[in-house]
Amino acid sequence: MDPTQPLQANVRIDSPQVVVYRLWYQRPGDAGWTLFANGTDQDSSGASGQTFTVGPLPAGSLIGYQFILSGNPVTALRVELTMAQGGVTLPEGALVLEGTTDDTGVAVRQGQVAP
Amino acid sequence: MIRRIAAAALLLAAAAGRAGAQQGDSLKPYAIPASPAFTFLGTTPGKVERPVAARALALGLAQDVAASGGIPRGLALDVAPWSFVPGLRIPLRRYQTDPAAYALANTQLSVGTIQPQADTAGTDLAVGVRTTLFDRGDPMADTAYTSAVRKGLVQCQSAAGPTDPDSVVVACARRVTGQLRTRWREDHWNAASLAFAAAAGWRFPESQVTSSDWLGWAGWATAALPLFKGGQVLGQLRYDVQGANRHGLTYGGRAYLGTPSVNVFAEVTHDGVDTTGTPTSWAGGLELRVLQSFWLSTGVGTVARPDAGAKTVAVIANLRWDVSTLPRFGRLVP
Repeated sequence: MDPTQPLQANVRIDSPQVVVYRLWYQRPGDAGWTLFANGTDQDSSGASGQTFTVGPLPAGSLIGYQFILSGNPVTALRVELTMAQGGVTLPEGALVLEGTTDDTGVAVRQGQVAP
Repeated sequence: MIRRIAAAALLLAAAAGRAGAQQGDSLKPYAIPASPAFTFLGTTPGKVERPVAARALALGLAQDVAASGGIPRGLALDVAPWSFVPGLRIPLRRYQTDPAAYALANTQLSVGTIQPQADTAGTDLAVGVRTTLFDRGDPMADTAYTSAVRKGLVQCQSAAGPTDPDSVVVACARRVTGQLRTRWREDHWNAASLAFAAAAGWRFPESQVTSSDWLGWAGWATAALPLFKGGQVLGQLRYDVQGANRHGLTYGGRAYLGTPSVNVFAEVTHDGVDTTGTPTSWAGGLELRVLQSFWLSTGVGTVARPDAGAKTVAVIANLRWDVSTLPRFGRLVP
């Protein structure tokens, strides 16, 4: 990641669930997380998804994500989170969250990545 | 008063014995199976693999084949084919507006293998497909429902980063969506729907792909229609072509009309592979909810008696636990 350029985080929902999500960043030395993206499947279901810009962020920063999905029970889910700078996807910058909803139709995918 | 009714119902049910017990589940054998391959094989696997990526599927199959040295037994796969097509996306908006995408998203492919009883060295393999063409009882197809869920899920989002345990977020999402879904289902329990399924099977005598015998196939169809505001008509059929012993059309139909606490019903079933000479059964009567999720069912119908070759007409009575707001024979979409 280039610490002099802003970071673009793109979210694309590919499966038939209601999705609400949030993205945060945490710089080295920060005590907590700072929210920079708040979206739903309504915003991010187009072919190009939805892009949020953040930073520039210093080296060693983290991106946190939380996706909450609700659909029919045991149905396939797929969400893509892609991080890029200057229109170029970063190495290891494409995160594909896959699986199935549980028997109540719910799935949660959350975690953090170092872009 | 309720206790007296329940006591009377218990007495009635005890008197009815086996005849009563048969009536409530009479259409179940014809219902569309969730995984047709497993139903064709007559098995209920303890664990079903549900891969959503082609790589995971190929890797898993390769490992199973390598471990078994042939066709692996105990295979139980249930997959959504659309998720394996590169570039194919079915987001919620498309699911709600494109009938072809809806059917594709609700198409399941199942694959199962078992050891046949008659051939300890062999393996039976079945492949099945199941699709729902439309289902007005699917809450995910309703934009009003999904908007309400979207609003509700916001309260489950973490405020200070992705630090809340998964279990806390999942519990919140289940609570929010569970309440909305239950309420929505209460209003749409008798909605129209149409679904199909089919399965075919082969026997591999030495568990090797080099030789196989055709086991046959089976097909299912289910349709449901609302009957005014307080009733439902449900039709189910199954066609079997399996060796010399099982070959024929089996169907069942049921209609009932009433209120959440009392209804009248009529049903007919026909077992096309029955060999007793009386393949058709019918029943009609009254169902009364005596307690929450506790029904008394009584009426007239044909029943098979253990000591008689043919079915006879009898008064039937039955008690059953039930969820009053759901269709009696379960939904098409699990």
